[in-house]
Amino acid sequence: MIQYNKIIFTGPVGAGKTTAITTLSDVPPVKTDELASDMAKNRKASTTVALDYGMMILPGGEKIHLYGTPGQERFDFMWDILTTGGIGLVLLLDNTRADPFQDLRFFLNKFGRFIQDTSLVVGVTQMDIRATPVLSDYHRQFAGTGLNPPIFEVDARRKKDVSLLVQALLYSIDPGLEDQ
Amino acid sequence: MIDLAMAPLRLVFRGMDERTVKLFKMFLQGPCRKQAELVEDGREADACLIDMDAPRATELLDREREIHPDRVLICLSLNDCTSSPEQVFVKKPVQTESMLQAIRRAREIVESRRPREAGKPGTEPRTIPLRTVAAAKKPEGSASKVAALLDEHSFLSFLGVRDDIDPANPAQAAAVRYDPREYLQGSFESACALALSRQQALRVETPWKPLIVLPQIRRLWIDADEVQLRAACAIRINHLAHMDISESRAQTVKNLKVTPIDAGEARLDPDRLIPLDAFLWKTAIWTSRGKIPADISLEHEVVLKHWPNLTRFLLIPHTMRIAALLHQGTHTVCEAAKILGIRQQYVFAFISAAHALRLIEQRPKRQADRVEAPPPPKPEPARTSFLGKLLKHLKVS
Repeated sequence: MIQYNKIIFTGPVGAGKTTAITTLSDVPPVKTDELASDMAKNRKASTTVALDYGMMILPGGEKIHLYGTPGQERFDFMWDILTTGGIGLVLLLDNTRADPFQDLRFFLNKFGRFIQDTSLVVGVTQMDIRATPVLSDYHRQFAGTGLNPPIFEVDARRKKDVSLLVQALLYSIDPGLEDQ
Repeated sequence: MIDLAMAPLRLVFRGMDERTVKLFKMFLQGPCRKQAELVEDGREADACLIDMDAPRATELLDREREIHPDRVLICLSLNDCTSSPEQVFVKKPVQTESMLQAIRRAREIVESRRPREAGKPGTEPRTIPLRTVAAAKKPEGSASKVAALLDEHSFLSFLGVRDDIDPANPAQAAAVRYDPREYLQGSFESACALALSRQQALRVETPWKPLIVLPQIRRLWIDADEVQLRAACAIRINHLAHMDISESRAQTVKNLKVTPIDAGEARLDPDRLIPLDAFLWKTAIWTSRGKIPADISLEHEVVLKHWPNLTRFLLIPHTMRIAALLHQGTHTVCEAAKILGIRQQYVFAFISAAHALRLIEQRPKRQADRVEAPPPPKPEPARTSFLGKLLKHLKVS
C-alpha cells in the first residue's frame, strides 16, 4: 500500500527548491549540493546533484517527507522514483531565467502523469529582481493544458510564502479540508 | 455589530525585563480584559508603555520621543513624572482600575489625532492588530509586499458581524449589497484600469487623495498609511463621477482629474510603491466589509477564473478554502458559504476582492433537471485527517 506522505519540490537550477525545503523542514535537511557543472554553473556556485530531503513532523509523530529533485536535467531519471506516493508537486520557477515559460513546459511535460494523478502548485521566485513576466502571463501559459493551478509569487526564504503555497496544494485536493 | 472600541490598544514596551513583560501580558489579557496588548514590533504600536523607574529610563524616554515624537506615552512610576498632558501616568503598584483609565485616556488621545478626512466622527474603524504573517528583512512601508492575515477576531472586530441572509428574501438580499462606485474603491479601480489600458503613468485626483498609477511596473503611490486608507475606504462618497475608460480621450470627468505624468520624473520612494493588484484587493475588502458588489448576482453561480496571488494579498478568514472551492466548480455565493460551513460575509468579502481584480465569472444557475457531472472524488477519511493535520502544522509553525 502506497503511503501518501511526500511532497515533491521541482524546478530549474536556482529556483529555490533547496531553500524552500530548508524553510519548511523540522529537521536539518539533507542536502547533496556539489560544485555546479555544465549549464548550472552560470547560475549558482553549487547545485543539487542527487536530491534534497527534509521532514515535517506532525503532532502524533506522523511525518511528511519533503523531496527536492535535482535541478539539472541529466538527473531526471530519478524523478519517477521520487514521485511515487507523493501528495502533490510544488513547481518553483525562477523569473530571472532566460525563458521561464520553457522551464514551465519542460517540468509540466516531465511530471505530467504525476500532476494528473495528484495536484500542482506553482511558485515564481525572484520576482523582486525581475518583475516580468507577471503572474497573469504564467496563467496564460496554462491555457489549453487542462490545468489551472494556484500560482503565487514566492520568496523561498520566507516560511509563510512556502507554507501558503503548500496550503494551496492541500486545498486544491480538497477545499473542504479543515485543521485537524 | 461588535463594539469596535473593544479592539485592543497596541502598546510597545520599554524598560521592562522579560519577566515583567510576561506578567504585563497576563495582566492586560486578564484583569484588563484585553483592552490593550503588548506588541514586539514598535512600528505597529499605538502607544508606548514605559517603566520610568527602570535603569536608563530617561534615556529610553528621550530615544522614544526622538524616534516617535507623536506617540502617546503611558508612564509607570512610583511618582508622577509626566511633563505633558499627552503623557499618561500610572502610579505603581499598578492597579487594574488605574491601568484601564490610562488605556482609555491613551485611546482618546490616539483617536483625537486621527486625520479628520479619514473617517466620520464616531464611526471610523478603530485600530486593530493585523498579524503580519511573513517576516520582512526591512521596513515594508505602506506597500503590501507580504501577505497579511486578518484572523477571524480581527475581521469581525473591524468589519462587524453580519447575519447570514436568505437570498430569496429581497429585503435581506438588498441589505448585503453595495456599489463600489459610491466609494473610493470605484475611483481606484477606474484609475488603475485607465492607466493599464493606456499603458501610461497617470496622476488621478480622487475625491480623497491623488493616486499615481505606474502601469509599466504595476505599482501605484498614494500618500496614506494603512489605517488612513482603511478608514477612507469605508466612507460613502456621494455623487461620485467615474471615468469612462472606453473613451480614450477622456482627461477630466467631473471631479476626477487625470493627468499623464513622466514616471521617471515623479521621484517616488520605491519602498512606498504598492503593487496594483494587492492594493485593489485590500481596498475592496475594506470597502465591502462583508457585503457583496451590486453587480454580482446572488442567483447566478460564480467561478474563480484563477487563483489570486495570495502570498502577497490581505488574507481574510477562509480565503484559501473559498478560492479552492470557487476555482474547482461553480456555486452561488450563498451555496459556497453553506458548503464550507462559514459565514456568508467571508464569501461576500472574498468575492468583492476577487471581482475587483476581474477574477469572478458569473454563469446562470444550472437547471435542477440538468445532468450534472459527478463531483470529484473525496479523499478517503483517513487521508483527509492526515492532510488536515498537515494543514494545521503549516498554519501554526
